[in-house]
Amino acid sequence: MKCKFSKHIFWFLPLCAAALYAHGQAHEFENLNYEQGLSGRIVNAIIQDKSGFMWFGSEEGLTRYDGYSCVVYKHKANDPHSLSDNAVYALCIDGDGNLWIATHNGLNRYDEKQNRFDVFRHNNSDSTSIASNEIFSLAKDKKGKLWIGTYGGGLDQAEKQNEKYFFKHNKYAETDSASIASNEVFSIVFDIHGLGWAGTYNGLCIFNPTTKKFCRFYQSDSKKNSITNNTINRLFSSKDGSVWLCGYDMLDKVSFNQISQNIHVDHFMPLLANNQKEEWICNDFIIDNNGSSWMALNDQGILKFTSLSPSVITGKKSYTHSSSISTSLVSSNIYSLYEDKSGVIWCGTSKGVTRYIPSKHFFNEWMGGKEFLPQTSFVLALTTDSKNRLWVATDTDTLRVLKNLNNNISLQLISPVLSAHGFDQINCMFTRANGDLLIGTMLQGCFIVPAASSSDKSTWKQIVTTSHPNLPSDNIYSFAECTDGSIWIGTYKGICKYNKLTDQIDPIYVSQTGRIQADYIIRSVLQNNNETWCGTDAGLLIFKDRKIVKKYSSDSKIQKLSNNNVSSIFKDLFQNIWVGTKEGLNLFRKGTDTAIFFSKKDGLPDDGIRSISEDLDGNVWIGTNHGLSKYSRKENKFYSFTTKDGIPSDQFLTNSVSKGSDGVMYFGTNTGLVSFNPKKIVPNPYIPPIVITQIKVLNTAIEEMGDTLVLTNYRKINKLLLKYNQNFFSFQFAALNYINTINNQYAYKLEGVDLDWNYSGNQHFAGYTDIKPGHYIFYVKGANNDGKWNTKPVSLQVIISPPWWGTWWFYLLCLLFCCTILYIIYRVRIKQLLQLYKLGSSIAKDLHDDVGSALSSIAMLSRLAQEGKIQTGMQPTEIYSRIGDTSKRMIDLMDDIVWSVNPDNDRFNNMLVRMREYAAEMLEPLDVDIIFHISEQIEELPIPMQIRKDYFLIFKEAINNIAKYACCTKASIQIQKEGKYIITTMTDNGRGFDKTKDTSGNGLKNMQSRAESLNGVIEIRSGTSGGTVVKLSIPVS
Amino acid sequence: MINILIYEDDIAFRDTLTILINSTDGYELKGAFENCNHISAHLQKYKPDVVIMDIHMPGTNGLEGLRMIRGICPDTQVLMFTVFDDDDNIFKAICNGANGYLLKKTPPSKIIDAIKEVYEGGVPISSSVARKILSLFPKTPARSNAIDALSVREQEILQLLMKGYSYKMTAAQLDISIETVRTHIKRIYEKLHVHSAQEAIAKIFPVRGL
Repeated sequence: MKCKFSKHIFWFLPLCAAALYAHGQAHEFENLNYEQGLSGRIVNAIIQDKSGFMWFGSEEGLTRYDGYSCVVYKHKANDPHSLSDNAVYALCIDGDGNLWIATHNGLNRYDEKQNRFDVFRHNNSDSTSIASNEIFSLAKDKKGKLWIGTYGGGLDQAEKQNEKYFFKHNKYAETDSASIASNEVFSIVFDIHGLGWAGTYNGLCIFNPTTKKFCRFYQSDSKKNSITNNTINRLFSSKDGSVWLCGYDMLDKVSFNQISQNIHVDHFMPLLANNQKEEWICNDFIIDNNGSSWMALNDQGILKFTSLSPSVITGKKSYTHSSSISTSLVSSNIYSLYEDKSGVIWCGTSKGVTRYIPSKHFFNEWMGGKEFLPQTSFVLALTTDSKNRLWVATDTDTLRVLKNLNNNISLQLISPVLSAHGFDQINCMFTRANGDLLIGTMLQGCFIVPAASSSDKSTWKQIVTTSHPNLPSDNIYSFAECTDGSIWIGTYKGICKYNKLTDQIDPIYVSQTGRIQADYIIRSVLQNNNETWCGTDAGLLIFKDRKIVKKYSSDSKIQKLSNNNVSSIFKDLFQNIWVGTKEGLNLFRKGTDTAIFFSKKDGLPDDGIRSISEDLDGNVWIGTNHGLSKYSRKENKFYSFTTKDGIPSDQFLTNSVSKGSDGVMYFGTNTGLVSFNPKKIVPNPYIPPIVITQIKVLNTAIEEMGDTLVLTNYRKINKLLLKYNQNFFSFQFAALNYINTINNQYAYKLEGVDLDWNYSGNQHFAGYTDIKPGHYIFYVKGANNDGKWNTKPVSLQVIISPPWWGTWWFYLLCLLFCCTILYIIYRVRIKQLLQLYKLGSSIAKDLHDDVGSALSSIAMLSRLAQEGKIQTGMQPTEIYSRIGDTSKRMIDLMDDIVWSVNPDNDRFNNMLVRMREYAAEMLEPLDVDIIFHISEQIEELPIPMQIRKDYFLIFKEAINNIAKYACCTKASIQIQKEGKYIITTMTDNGRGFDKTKDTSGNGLKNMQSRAESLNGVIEIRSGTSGGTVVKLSIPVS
Repeated sequence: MINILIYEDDIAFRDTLTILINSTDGYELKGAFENCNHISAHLQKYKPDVVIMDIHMPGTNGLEGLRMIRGICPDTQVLMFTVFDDDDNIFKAICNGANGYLLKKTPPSKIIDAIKEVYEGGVPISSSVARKILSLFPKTPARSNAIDALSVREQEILQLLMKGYSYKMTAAQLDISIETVRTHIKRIYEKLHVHSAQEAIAKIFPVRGL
């Protein structure tokens, strides 16, 4: 009937056997494989660079990972700066922060600025070149120098001089016992003292990097203190000064005594691979920051253990691949291990990279819990007894009592626990103050289990309706203890009180008719001072002295509850009462009567509350339908945990929760037990570095743009210089946190465009379109999956240059141009005005001179005539005719002036018409033949206003002279164009005149002065007999 | 007895004309006014044969007055007088039905001759004005038909006159006598002038009985 296993040593067998069952839950390891972008499947080396990127070296190339996507580097035949070979064996970061890649054919240094590789190969003619092309290992010594372990070339040391690398060699020399043991160097490390350790094909060598003297150590059957195997695959330098050796059937911990020059060896493999048929090949080994040791096995997956002393192994946990279990480790062939800066353990396997996130395993920490529970068991009830043993009731008829002592679990089974026939189950369990247990069942009432003899079922007392008719129902849901020692029992049909001493059931709620009320299903009971709080399916009832004093329900307005279906009630350290319902969590603060509601929008993973408890720090833990929640008292904030965070199951069960005296919390779910140490559940404290992983301009990556100028500038000066038509750009960035990367948060802003930070949640890209030319700075910052922000933003300057027609100097030029135009217009206008003014004043002058004087003479003559003065020698008729002549002269002059300013008369044509008319008028009456000879091009010549008047008046004067003095018969007027001059020649065949005589007043002088004002020349040729020629030459304007 | 009315805003000229006309037999001056504001009353009252009209006057100007005369007394002859021979006014005057056009600088005897001529149905135009008018012809559409009705010789003469050739020069150029030229011109002018005047009037003042 009962089984009893309690010897802990015994336990190792089933434990190990159980270990071979890969039970891995969905999220113990997260995979990154070829299909997700990894360059190849077999991953030999893993490293994290100084910026925080993860690099994976595989058989098929090198991959850089930022948490979101992979950038793959492969060998390209025609590119001397590509990776030297696709088979990557080792990765190392040297003292300068350079990434070195060891391949099957050559050594590479990654040039970050130019995104390419500097390749180093062996050159027979160059002794400073690397000793061999096949390189298996790399290591950095205390001074930051790079050491290279080759295959066949021994150990090389890299030296840098003037940006060039030289290699110094350490080769095996038969004659030199202080030389390296073998030319095939598989692994190199430097211990905490700075000594170098080389694991070769044939022996271990410990050397001083300065003296280059090698101490050799070999396997020896005779010496117990010797290494297990001469061929050493890998070395690991531990913080305690020892170095671990990995190899075939070998995991040795070696410490070197510098004084005695001797080693001390602890052999771990026998302890770990105890009694295994096959010999284990250890490919890699690390000890993480928590002190856990990890072993990478060639065919047996990963083994995790803790070793406090050489002969004691604890906490062994094995992870292997099982094809039948889909959530197991991706592969059992593990080649490399690496712990990154945030504590994530990366494993290179034959099927890609997988990572172990320690924080996710805190929920599974309580090892063994699952081994003793069937896979899909409902953990219906939990309680911790006075001896800190965990009682686990599942949906089977077996009660398990588990005790965890220093990670050793002992199990006691009580089976069958309930009746031998029919189906029954345990609903709840409760531990009394005196150590007694109370077990509430579905069909058999409740059992009181005395503390002293808990495993002996015969001592259990049963309280059932048949024996205690006052018990409202055999279906027991909850228990609570009064201060006086009596027990509240919440059943399917109401609540009652049990007095152990009298063995009497006291039904509490009695209706007026005296019958026991069967209204409420009491799922949970809590004694709060002198009140009894009952969570029912119709709200929260508070009893006091047998009466319901308060009722909280969802219908009530004053005493409002989020939902009537109450599942759990809990009183915390500060006397606040938490009431969990089907739809929401209610908090009654100490001394208050109204509830504060919490739901999903406050951060709970789900509204359906199942179980509530509290840890030793006063934080409240809530199990819901879809995950676990922690209410942090200090931060007044809810944190959620789901299977993504390592919880085995999200579906928690009603009131299935318990807390151990050591603080470990246990929650029951529908697929087993969730146990954890709350102190270890902390938000990810790692502050991730922020990097910009891709820049796109006009939706093309800058590396792929045709215009390589952008890329060159970016690489050289780390600024983005764009042209005005390249003003569409986007950035992709990453916070290099590898735990739940999808929950990373980001904020960015483009200074100059954005007023404030844009919080983009987990979106890790930002795009900007149609940005005006100018100087901008792009800032981005990020937070890890638990909201830990890296507040120092990464910045990138973006300068968009304006088009040539947008630059300041162009605007200046335009401005200058406009100013010049305006100035020119102004000048022209002034000139025009000046001209008009000149014209006006010349007209005024003419009027004044000619007309004015004429009029004055007329006035004078008139007066003379009036007064009848004859003394002057002029007859009245003469006076009148003078007046008449003068008047006529004036009229003509005015006429001429008006004609000359008329803008329509702008061609020579008009001038000719007037000239002909005048000539005809003056000379035809005198019977003079007039001939006009006008050359063709004259007619259309334009005559500016300034010329017309003077020209015509000269002509007039000439004609007048002919009319008055020439006495000719023929007159000819010839106008032609000679070069830049218009020559007007007026000829007559008359008398001629003597130029020296001063005749006709100012006629000739006028002509001269007018010709001058035309910038022309007038020639008058006259003889007393041969006629007169008046020749006027004026320049063409 | 030829009855004459004068509209002229310049006192001196008005007085001079008055003296000139009254001192000539056969011509009687019925009234001399400085503007056309009451021209309709004057026309009713005095019923003149010839009206001497200055173009530029304050108030109702000469062209307006011309139109009114044509409207009220279509048979009265109108002689336009002005100081300057700018094309615009000449054209407008002809369009509005002026019978003759003289510049004020025309000698007195010529003025009397012009009044006589216009009374007798002639078309007194001072030679320079005549040339101006002729030079306008191709520009105005109303005349283009008329041009085509002219003979080749008439058109030739017209072209030369437009260039400012005097009758003598024209005669010399075309190798014909001056008399022939004069005859041609008369004919040209009659044709064109009559045409244009009538057309213009017909457009502005539809035939109405007075």
